[in-house]
Amino acid sequence: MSRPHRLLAEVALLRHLPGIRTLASLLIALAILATVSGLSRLSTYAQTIEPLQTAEQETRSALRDSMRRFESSESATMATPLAAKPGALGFTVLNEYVVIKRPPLAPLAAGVSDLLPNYYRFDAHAAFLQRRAGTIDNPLRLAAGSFDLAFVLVFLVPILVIALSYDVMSREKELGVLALVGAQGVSIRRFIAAKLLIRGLMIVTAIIGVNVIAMAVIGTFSEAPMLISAASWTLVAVFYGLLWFGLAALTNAAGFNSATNGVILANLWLLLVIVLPAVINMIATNVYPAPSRVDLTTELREASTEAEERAAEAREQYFFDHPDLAAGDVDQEIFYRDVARGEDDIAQSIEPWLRRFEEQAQRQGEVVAWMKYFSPALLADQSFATLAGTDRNYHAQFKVAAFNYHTDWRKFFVSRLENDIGMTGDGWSQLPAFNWSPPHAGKQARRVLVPAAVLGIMAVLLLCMALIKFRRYSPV
Amino acid sequence: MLEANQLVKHYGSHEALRGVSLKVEPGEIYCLLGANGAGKTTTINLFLNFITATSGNAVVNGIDVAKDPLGSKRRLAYIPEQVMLYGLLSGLENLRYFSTLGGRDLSDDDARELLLQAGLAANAAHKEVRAYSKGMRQKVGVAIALAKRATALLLDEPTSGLDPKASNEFSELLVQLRDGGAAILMTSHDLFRAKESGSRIGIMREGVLLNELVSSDVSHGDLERIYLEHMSG
Repeated sequence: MSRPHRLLAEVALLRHLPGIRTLASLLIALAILATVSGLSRLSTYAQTIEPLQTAEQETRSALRDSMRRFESSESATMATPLAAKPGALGFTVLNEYVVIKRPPLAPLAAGVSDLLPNYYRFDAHAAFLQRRAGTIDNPLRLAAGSFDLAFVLVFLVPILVIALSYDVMSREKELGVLALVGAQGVSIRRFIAAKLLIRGLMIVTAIIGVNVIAMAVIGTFSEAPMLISAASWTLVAVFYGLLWFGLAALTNAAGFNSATNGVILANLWLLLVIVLPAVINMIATNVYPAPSRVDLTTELREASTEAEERAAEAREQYFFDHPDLAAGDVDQEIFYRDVARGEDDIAQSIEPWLRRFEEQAQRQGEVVAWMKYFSPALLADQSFATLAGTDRNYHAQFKVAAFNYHTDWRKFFVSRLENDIGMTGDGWSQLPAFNWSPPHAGKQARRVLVPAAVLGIMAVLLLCMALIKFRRYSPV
Repeated sequence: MLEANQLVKHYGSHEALRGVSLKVEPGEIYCLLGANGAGKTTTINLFLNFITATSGNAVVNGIDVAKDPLGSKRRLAYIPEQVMLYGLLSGLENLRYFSTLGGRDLSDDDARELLLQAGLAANAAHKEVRAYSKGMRQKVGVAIALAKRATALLLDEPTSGLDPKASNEFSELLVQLRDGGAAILMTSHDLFRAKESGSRIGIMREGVLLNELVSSDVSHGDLERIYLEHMSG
């Protein structure tokens, strides 16, 4: 018999696979729901930041207007407006919102975007005083995790793959059909290979299908550079799905009955998807524990007290040198200059502590980066987050760029304070602006190349092992 | 033609077959009788190459099944005790599927004709097999054998559990196949059916073929007596 005919016969059989339509409909519904949920998550973030940015723009417009009136006024009696005072502006009035830019695939994987800041609100205070800003997320959602396409692919698709393939051969044997097949003069090994091929193709088609649907919903295909990300994403999803299919095939090849296969695969799911990632995370945090926050706070408090004492001494010296100013109100701008100097001292004192936090976090990341190869689920999940621009690395790059920018922003005001230069209309137009170029889609895709290849190799190895084991598969 | 030459099969220390030799010529029905565990099904499985003989060989139409397992099955049909088909497919779809596996693509008309020849009612051909009785599934099994134009048939207790009418219909089908020149090896517990439709009868016990009889030479009573003597002896 020609091989295409045999394959077509298998395809015809698939139409009668119990529950196949239900599973396909469920998968499509889950994919659409997850994508809509991802879009809604990003929309919530945008809705949080937009009013803040609008309010800030309105404040700045009003200040610029007052500056313009002040500069055009010929009246010598007009008081210097707030808009001309760099200390007050930088340290109190102005807020600079620095918002992360994300690739179009962002709705498909929350990654750590719900845990790390999506934007920073900067002022001219030192970097250690810049508190993280962000959307207040529903704590239940934070605890349970986001429902997005990555969740569907990493957690739910393996269950669907198991449901479709846990009895791919054992059922044939239990029904007694395999014996009848074996008597037809067809090689059992080829029959099994054909069956696995068709079942595998069906799984691949389903995974590609849901990804295409999800990407169509978010409109990825309208942006040509993102096609490479979309293709990489789909490749990771397909290899991950095939890996689970390989596990199911290998379990079948071991010759257990269908119920045993189901139990083995359910336990494998629990181990690889739930237990191993948790264990890896636990190892990373225990091998490189974060330094004590209590110690950091104590150090910060001591450094602040010392800085305040130094500032008070400097102020005393200043009034001793300028006794005429001592009776009147203290110039606010002098106050801000002292604040800036004090913060520099504090920053210097706590810098080693902060560096230790950063280093430990980096080491934890490095442990997870190589240990993820022990868990296909973690490997796939991190690859999806990388392509969606929601992984730790993407956030770290944003954070570095944001804080470099903060240095410029602070310097803009502090240098004016130190040199006693007031803000002018020109000064306003020279306010720094945040220009961050996020990592290119191609670069992000290259970062998932190795994980994708590992998933693919594991899938192929499992399927090959299954086929080798099936050579000794008895039809009775 | 079916031929077993000194077939021995060991499962660890258990000897399932101990040097069984038999020959089934074209146009002959050979009935293997024996209690459970006598080695009847093991003999069938060796002819199908589902298991490997410890020693000896099984030959189908002149082909050693261990040396050319696929070639030996080209004109071989097998009907097990329970013809297990795909329950969600109709009898017609099952026939077409298994025929495709066997190397022959059947049209719907051809398949319908074969099912009719096998005795399946025309209105049953399109029903899902899960609604079939055992007898109806056996008929689909016969249709698969007919589609394959099998010259050798292996039947493993095919009439077990069939009601007398269905059992009789099945025996008539076997006789038709025999008259068409097929060599048929059938295992059974049914002495009456073996005597009625078998050309020769072999009695097995504990992996040994104890006796071979020509069915026309013995009466029903003689067969029962000889069988019981062997079983109790």
